[in-house]
Amino acid sequence: MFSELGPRARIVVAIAWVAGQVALIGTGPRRADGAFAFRMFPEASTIQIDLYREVVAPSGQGTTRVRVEDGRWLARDEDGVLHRFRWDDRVKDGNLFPWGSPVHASYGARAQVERLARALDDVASHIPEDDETMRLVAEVAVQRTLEAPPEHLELESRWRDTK
Amino acid sequence: MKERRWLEGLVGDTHALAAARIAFGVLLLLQTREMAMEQLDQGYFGNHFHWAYVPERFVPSERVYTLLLAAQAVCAVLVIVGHLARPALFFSGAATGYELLCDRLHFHHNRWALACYVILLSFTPCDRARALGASKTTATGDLWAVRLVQLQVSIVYVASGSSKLFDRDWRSGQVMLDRMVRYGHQAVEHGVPEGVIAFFQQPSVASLLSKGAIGTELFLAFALLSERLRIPAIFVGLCFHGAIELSARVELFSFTTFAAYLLFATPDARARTLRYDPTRKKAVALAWAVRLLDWLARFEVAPWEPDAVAKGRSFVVTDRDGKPRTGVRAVMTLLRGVPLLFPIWCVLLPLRGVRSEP
Repeated sequence: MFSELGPRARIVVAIAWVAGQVALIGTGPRRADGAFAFRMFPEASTIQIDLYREVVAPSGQGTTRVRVEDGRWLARDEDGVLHRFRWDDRVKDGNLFPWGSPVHASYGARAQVERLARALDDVASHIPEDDETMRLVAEVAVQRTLEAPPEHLELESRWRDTK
Repeated sequence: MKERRWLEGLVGDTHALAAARIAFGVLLLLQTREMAMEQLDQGYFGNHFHWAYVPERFVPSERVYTLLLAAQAVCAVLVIVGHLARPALFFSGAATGYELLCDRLHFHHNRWALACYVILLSFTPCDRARALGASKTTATGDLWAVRLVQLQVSIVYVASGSSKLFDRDWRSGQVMLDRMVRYGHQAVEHGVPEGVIAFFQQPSVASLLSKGAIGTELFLAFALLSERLRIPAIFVGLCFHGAIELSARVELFSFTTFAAYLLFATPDARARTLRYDPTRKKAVALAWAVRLLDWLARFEVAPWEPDAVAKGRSFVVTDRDGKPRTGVRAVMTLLRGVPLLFPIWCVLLPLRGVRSEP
């Protein structure tokens, strides 16, 4: 099928292939996970994720943060019925689980932070029976090297439409 | 034109290609199994959080994805048996690439490397030997695309090595030290003695190791393409990936690279001979073992016709130069030609003081 290609076609295939690889590798740093660029073992960073829900404060004014333990929480729907919710019902990647302790930042800390930001929005938009959580918040501690002090970040999901 | 010469005039035996095809077929089957297990374990990826590079409308439905995985499994079997192997290789590579585009959470460099290798392999006559319905007489073919696969191996090493070279933490050894400290226990679980890991957890050792890793990757990128350095490069590569396999979880990456290394074998079939004494059980067993393990078809194995050299010997090996070898030299020639035994040859070479033949 392919090896019968003529000399010119071979050169075209070869140049196109190599150019494609060069383009993917050259643009690798622009992608947080360095996908398609063969950037193996980019860093040894760890990431610690603590998950919180922002709910209406007991005073009825403003919001307060409630820590989500072990990725699970209980919340009522608009009829007052209590429901159980789990982070990993939507997010199966164990590296994005809010363990509350450091885990390896697979494919680099930047990639994990980017993925976590998306995951927060995804979970927040897939819990229609939770009429209490106004938004999800992740407190993130990224440690790039053993000696470096951790960087602290806060990621927030979009606001949810609750009563 | 230089590039034209590079892509022309390379016609040779395809047994090494066939060995690589079978190895890649097995890897494709294992990878498909891994992806199917992920779906069985976690459910269809599209039903939970995923993040596609392509627009969401191009992400396959659960049914289409299941069919795609089934088709990949069938293609992997076709690749292994050598029936419609080249379209099956191309489809497998393209399907893997498409799946990686559909969920970046499931992106792994080893999967992308495998996709690249099998797509390029589909341009080679890898279905002319050790394949269902293949002609017994014409196992040669135009190997221009083998050059591209070899180049792809180098591209992977250049990309990986240079990304580390330009990273300050990698150059200084900090990343390596962190890995050793944080994940050294995994190597211990794989059987590496704790004392060895403790040694590598010293900052000065980690720094040296880091520079060594960068140097090794860049060395491999260029040495594999050099006829003169290819043999030491393959040995260095085997050690390098063996160490990675012991110290990290890299899915099929090491084995994917080992399969690609088969494509660096000189494309000549039966250029060496093994003649053995059919009346001696050990010699017959040796001949059987060589036939079984000689995946690259290096040796023409046959009972001998008595001659002056063979007299009193169990076996005689002739290398490409046509000179008959007996004893240690014969064993070394066998070790060098049989892929599974090649690392032993590399280790024994300096100890025995036996030099490889030109």
